Amino acid sequence: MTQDITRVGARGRLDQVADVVMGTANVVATLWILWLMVLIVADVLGRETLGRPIAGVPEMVKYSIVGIVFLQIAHTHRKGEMIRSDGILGMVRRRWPTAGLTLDLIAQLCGAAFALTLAWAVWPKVVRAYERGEMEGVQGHFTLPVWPFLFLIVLGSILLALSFLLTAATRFKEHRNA
Amino acid sequence: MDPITVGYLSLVAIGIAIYAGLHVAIALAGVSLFGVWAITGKLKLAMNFVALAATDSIADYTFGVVPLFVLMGLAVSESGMGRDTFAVISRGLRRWRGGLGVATVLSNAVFAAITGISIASAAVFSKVAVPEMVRAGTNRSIAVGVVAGSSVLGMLIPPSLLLILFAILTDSSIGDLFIGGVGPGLLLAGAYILYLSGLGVARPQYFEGINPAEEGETTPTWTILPVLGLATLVLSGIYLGFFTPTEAGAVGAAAAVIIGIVLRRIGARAAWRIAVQTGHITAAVCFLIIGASIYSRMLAFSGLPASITEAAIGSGIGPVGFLMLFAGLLVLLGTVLDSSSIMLVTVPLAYPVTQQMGIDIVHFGLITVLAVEVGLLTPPLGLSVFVVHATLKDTGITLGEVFRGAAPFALIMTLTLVALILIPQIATGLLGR
Amino acid sequence: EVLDVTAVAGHPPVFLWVKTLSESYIPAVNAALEGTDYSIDWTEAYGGTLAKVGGEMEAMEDGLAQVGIVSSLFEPSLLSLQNVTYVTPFGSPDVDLVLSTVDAMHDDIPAMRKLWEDLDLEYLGGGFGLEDYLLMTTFPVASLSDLEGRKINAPGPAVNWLKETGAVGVSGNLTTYYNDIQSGVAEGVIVFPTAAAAAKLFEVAPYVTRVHFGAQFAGGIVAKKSWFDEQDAVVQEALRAAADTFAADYRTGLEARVAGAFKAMEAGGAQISEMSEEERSNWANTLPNIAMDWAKDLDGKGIPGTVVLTTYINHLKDAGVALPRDWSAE
Ligand code: NA
Ligand code: NA
Repeated sequence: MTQDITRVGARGRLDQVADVVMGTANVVATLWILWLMVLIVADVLGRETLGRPIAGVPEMVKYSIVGIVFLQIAHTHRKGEMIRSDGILGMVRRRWPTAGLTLDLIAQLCGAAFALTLAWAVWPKVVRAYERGEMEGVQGHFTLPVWPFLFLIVLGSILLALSFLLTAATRFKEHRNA
Repeated sequence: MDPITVGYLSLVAIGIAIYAGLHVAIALAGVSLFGVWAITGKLKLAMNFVALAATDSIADYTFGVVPLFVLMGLAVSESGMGRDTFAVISRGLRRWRGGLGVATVLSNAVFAAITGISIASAAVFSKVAVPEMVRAGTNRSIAVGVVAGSSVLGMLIPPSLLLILFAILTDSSIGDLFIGGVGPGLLLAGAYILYLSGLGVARPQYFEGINPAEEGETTPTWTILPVLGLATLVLSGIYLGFFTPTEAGAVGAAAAVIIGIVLRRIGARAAWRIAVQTGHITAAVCFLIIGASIYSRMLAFSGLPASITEAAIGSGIGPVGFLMLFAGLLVLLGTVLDSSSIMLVTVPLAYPVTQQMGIDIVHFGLITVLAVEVGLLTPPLGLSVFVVHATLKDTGITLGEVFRGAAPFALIMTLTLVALILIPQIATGLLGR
Repeated sequence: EVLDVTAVAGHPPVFLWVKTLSESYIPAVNAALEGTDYSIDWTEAYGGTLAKVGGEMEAMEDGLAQVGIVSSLFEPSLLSLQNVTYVTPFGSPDVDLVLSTVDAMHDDIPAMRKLWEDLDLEYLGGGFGLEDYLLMTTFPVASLSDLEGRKINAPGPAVNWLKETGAVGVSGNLTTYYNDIQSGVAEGVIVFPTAAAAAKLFEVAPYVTRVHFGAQFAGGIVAKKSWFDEQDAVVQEALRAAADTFAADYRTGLEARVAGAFKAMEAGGAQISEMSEEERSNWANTLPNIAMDWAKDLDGKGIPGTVVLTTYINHLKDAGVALPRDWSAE
C-alpha cells in the first residue's frame, strides 16, 4: 500500500474546476465526520445523563458513511491516497518508463470505467427511491429519505471518474514532455 | 461459463490486476462485474448485481464508526501523546540494558489502547524512540526493529481498524473481537520484552554506551496522564456500560481532540488537517471494503467458497491444520500485499470453512489479523518498515537495515501466531469460552 | 421446458423461514411440476450471497432473483400496510392467527396486494411471522414502573412500544444485544424467544417477562411479478400452491422451536414469568395511540391505513382475542 503522487504539470482549466468541486465535496464530508462525532457523543450523554437518547442515530450513522465516503473518494484519489500496491509498478516505471506509463494509464482508465459504470447502474435507483418516497427508519419514531444518499453515490462516482481521467491525462502529458 | 471456474479465474485476474498496480478496490469490483457477467451471460444483470452490492453493503452502522476511530488515532498522534508516553516510561527503565527497547514496546502497548492504526504508531515512535535509543547507545538496527515490530500492537490491542474490518467481513461482534485482541496483544508485547531483556544479557554490546545523564530532560511525569486518562476513559466507558465499543470511537475521538486543544497541541489549522486526513483514510478504506463486499458476493454467487469448504472438510485436514495452512498463506501474501487487501481477498473464502469446522470466530479473527500483520515487517513490501524508513530517511539509514532489524520481531510474531493457533484461549479466554 | 429460477433470502438458512423455503417450499414446487412440461433449475442464494437482509426486494426488482422471501418488517415505508401488526402491540400471541389474518387481508383489501405489485412483486402467500415478543431484563419486572429510567434494546419498530413508558430505548441488533447488556449499555431487550435463546441472552438478562406483545407478520414469499406473469398457468399455480405447504411447515417448525427455546432458557437459569393482565393493560394504555398515528399518516398519503387497522383489529376480536386496548377505537 503506497501512495501515488499526482503531480499536476500544466494545469488546465478543467483541472482547476475539478479541484474546486472535489475540494468542496471534501470540506462538506469533513464537516460531516465532525458532526457525526458530536451526534454520537450527544446521544451517549443524552442517554446516560438525562435518559433521553437522540432518535434515529443508528440510521443517521448508517447513511452518513455513504455520503462521507462518496464525497471524499474523488479528493482522496486526487491526493494519491487511494489504496493500490504499486511496488511492482514503481519498479517497471524506473526501468521501462513507457511500459510503466502504459500500466498506470490502464489503471486510471479502468478506474474511470468502473466509476462511470457504478454511476450509471445506481442512477435508476436514485430515481426509483425518489419517486416512491422510500424512507429508512421507524415511522412515528424517526425516518429519513433514502434517495439523497443514493444520489451522493452517483455524484461521488462521477467525480471519481473525472479524477481518474484527469490523472490519466496529466500522466500522459508529463510523459510526452519529459 | 461454469461458475466455479469463473470463481477461480477471478482470483487469478484479481491477483494480476493488483500486482499490475490497479487500485485495489477497482480490481476487486471490476473483476467481480466481469465474473457475474460470465456466470449469468447478462451484462445488465451484472451491473445490477454490482450496484446492489455497492449500495447495500456500505450503509451499515459499523462502517459509520470507521472515521471516528481513525480520527481518534490521528488526534492522539498529533497531540504528541506518543512522545510523552515514551519519555516518561523510558525514564524509569533507562538503567536497564535493553530498557529503552522495552520502554518502546510498553509505550506502544499503551498507545495501542487508544489508536486503531499501526501506521500511526510506526510514524510516531520512529521519530520519538529511535533517536533516543541510538543516543543511549542501542544498536541502530535493533532500535528501528523494535519500533517496526511493536507498531503491530496497534492493530491487535483494541481498538483496531483491522478487527473492525474483520467484523464487517464476517458480520460478527466488534465487541467480542476487541476483547479477543487483548490476550494476543499482551502475549506479543511480553514476548518482545522477554527477547529484548534476554538480548541485553546475552549481547550487552548491542546496548553499549548507556548514557544515564540525559540532560535537558524536560518532559514532566504528569504528561503521561492524558494518555492514561484517555485509555481509562475509553476502556472504563466500555467496561462500565456507558457506551458500546462502536460508540467508543466517537467518545475517544472527541476526548482526544479536546485534550489536544486544551494542552494547546492541536490548533485550528492542525485540527482541520487531521479531519481532512481522517476523511481520506476513511474514504480509501471504506471504498476498499465496498470493492471487497462486491467481490465476496460474486465469489459466493460462483459457489467457490462452498466448493473449497467441501474440499477442506473432505481432505480431513482438521481445524488446526487448516488454520496453520491459512495463516501460512496470509504470511506469504503479506510479503507483497497490504494487510487490508489480504483480508478482503481471503476471509470471504476461508470464513465458511471455519464455520463448518466449528472454529471460534474470535479465534479465527485474531489469527487472521496477527498473520497479516507479520507482512508489515517482511520484504519486499513491509508497510511498517517503509514508514519507519521514510520517517528516518535523513539519518541515512537504509531500507535493508530496517528490514534486518525487524526480522527477529517478525520471527517472534510468527511464533506467537503458532501459539495462538494451538491455544485458542489466548484470544477467547477473556470472553470465557 | 427447464426454467432457471434464483431464490433469494438475506438471512442464512439457520433461520427457520429460510430453512423452510429451501426444504419445504422448493421441493413442493418441484413436486407440483412433476409430470408437467415444466421443471425448475433452482439457484439458492441465501445469507448475503446476493442481497443482505432488507435488500431482497431490490434484488428481485433488479432481476437478480425471481422468487424470494421479502421481509416487510424492513420496508416500513414501501410495505407500510403489512406492518400493521407492529403498530398494534399487545395483540394475539397466536402466530397462526396473526399470519392467517394478514394473509387473508391481502385478498380482502386490494391496496395491500397493490403495495407488493407496485414493487413488481407478486405476493404468493405463505407469510412468515415471528412468535410472541417478550421482555428480557437484568432485573425482575413485575410492573411497568419497574422500567422507569431503564435502558432497553428495542429493535426497529419495537422502539415505539416503549414510548412514554419511562424506559429509555437503546438501538441495537441481534449481534450486539449480548455485549450491550453484559456491559450495561442496555439493561434489557424486547425480543422474540427463538432469537433470544439462540443468542443466549438469558445468560446476561435472566429475567424473562412474558409481556405478550403479540406475534408479528414479518414478510412472505413473493415472486417477481413481471416474470411471474409471463409464466405458464401450471407454473404459476405450482408456485402459489407451494406457499401453503410453506405456511403449514413453517408453523409446525416454529412451534417446536419456540418450545425448545423456552426449554433452553429455563435450563440456562432464566426466571420466566408472566406479566399480569393488569400491568399488561396498563402498559398498552400508557402508550400513545401509535396505531392511529400510523393509520392517519398513511390515509394522508392515499393508502387505506385506517381501513387496514380496523379490519385487522376486528378480525382479532372476532377470533375472540381479548385486547387490552382497542387501537382502532380512538
Ligand atoms: Na489499537
Ligand atoms: Na511484507
